[in-house]
Amino acid sequence: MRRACLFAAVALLCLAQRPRDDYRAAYKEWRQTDPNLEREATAGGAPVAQRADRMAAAAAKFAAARKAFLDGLAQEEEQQAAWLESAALNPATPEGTAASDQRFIATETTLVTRTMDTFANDPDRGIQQLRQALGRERMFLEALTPAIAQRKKAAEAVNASSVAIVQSCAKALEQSHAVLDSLKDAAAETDREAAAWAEYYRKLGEGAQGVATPITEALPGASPAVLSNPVPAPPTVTPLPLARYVGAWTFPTSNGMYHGTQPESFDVLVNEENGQATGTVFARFKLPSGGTGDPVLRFDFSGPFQPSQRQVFNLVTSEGAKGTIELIPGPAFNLLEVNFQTEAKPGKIRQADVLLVKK
Amino acid sequence: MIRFAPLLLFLAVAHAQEKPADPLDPLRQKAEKAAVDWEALAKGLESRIATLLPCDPKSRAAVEEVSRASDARLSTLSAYIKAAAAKAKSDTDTAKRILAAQAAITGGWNTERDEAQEQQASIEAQVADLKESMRKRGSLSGAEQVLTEIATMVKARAAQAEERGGSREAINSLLGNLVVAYQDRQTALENESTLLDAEIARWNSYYIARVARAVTECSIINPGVAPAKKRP
Repeated sequence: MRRACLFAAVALLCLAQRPRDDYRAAYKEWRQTDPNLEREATAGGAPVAQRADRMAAAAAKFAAARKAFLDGLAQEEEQQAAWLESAALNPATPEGTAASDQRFIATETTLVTRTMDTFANDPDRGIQQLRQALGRERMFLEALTPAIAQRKKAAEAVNASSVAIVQSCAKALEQSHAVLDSLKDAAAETDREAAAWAEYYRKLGEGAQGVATPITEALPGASPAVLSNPVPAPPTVTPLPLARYVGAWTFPTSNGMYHGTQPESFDVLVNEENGQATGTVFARFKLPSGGTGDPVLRFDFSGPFQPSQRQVFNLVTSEGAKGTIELIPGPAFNLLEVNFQTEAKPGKIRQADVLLVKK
Repeated sequence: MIRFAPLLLFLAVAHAQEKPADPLDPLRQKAEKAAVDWEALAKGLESRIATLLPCDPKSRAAVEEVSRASDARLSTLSAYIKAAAAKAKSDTDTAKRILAAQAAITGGWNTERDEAQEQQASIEAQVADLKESMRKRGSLSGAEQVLTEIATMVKARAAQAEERGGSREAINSLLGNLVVAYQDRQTALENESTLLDAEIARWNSYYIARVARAVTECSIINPGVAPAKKRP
């Protein structure tokens, strides 16, 4: 059954060549989002930081698409390696029967010949008929000998090919593992590059908000730099752009990260107006088997944004329990860690820590 | 040693469970059992009929029983070899698909290299622009440092892709050998199957002659009376 599944998987995966279109499109989009950012970073201020955020988001999208592509390839390679391992384990060599057949033929031929010799000079008509019958029998026995020898040779060729298969599989498997390692390395490299790009755009945004150094070399008559998208920056006290907190965030449907009770869904909406945050959390948790508590949790929170990376606000649940929620920008532009604690209420979830992605 | 026995047993069982079952095993076992059955009957035939009169129905029945056992062992062997040949064909096709998929993956390293080089060129342009901006805004130096590191990473990626692409021919050659080995096996099994069919026809002829001898033996002892078939 496992082999059959493996065959099907290999067949399907091999028929469908994995396209690079997704990550290429994401790369193009990233590169076209703001091609003049570095040139215009000298203008500084929040607009540049916002543009850097947009680029960071596009870079993260590209990295995710490329990672998915490489992971898919690695998965295919793993299945191929599994097939090679399985094939090497089961050469399915047929058992030869030629030896016992040949012994049988030899014994019977000797017996028949001896009986024929015994009757060789007997003139009795019946005995001669018997001798003829024995002669036909010996003829068919003798006809079997080359047929058995030919089949034995064919069986030996089968066994020889099985040995070649086992050897080829072992070598191919070694190469397949090397390819798999390369693909995993490439995926890990993509992760490292993605983290570096996030860091780069963060530093670019921060650097653009720093104090401009005097122009030491100004060409006479040089025109001032003009932003290609001169959007006025909204006032903000946070060291990171508000876009790192504001918006709709959700718990990913697969491979979501969390501490405490596992969420089934976790949606957060954060708004900002005049430096004040307001937000809503609606979550459903997976209770342990046999658990009788309430899996649903809803609360609102509000408060002023602070000049710190981590933002803490007071919350009130729909049952009236009070607590705090902490919003922590994640390692990538589109990630937000949410950590909350509430007063204890019977049957209610009172704390969790989840990593959300921006919708 | 006794203390380790359960562990060894567990490991042995675990290993046996890890090995996937060969779908041909039932057919192989059936063919092997039929071969053993025939061999036992064939070896004992002469001694069984030596004490019987030529026209005793048990005499002919004994010969026919061996003939049927021969048919059974050859037909089960034929079924096994035909199934093995079909599986070999399937294996050959899978090996070909793996070869194609591997060729695509290894060929993809060239694409990886080209794309990395393209990215490298873009990053170098970004570095140049950023350095220009740094003349007016020194606080961008941290970003420039990271971007330069990224450029180094992408350059290394291009070099790795180039290196990995270099092993393409070796992999294709190895998998090509595997495909050839599977094709050889398929051909050998198909050949064996054809030869076995021819051999089966000769065994049938032999047993017809063997039964005919039994009939003749009876007829010369008791003319006009053929040894009756034993009633079931």
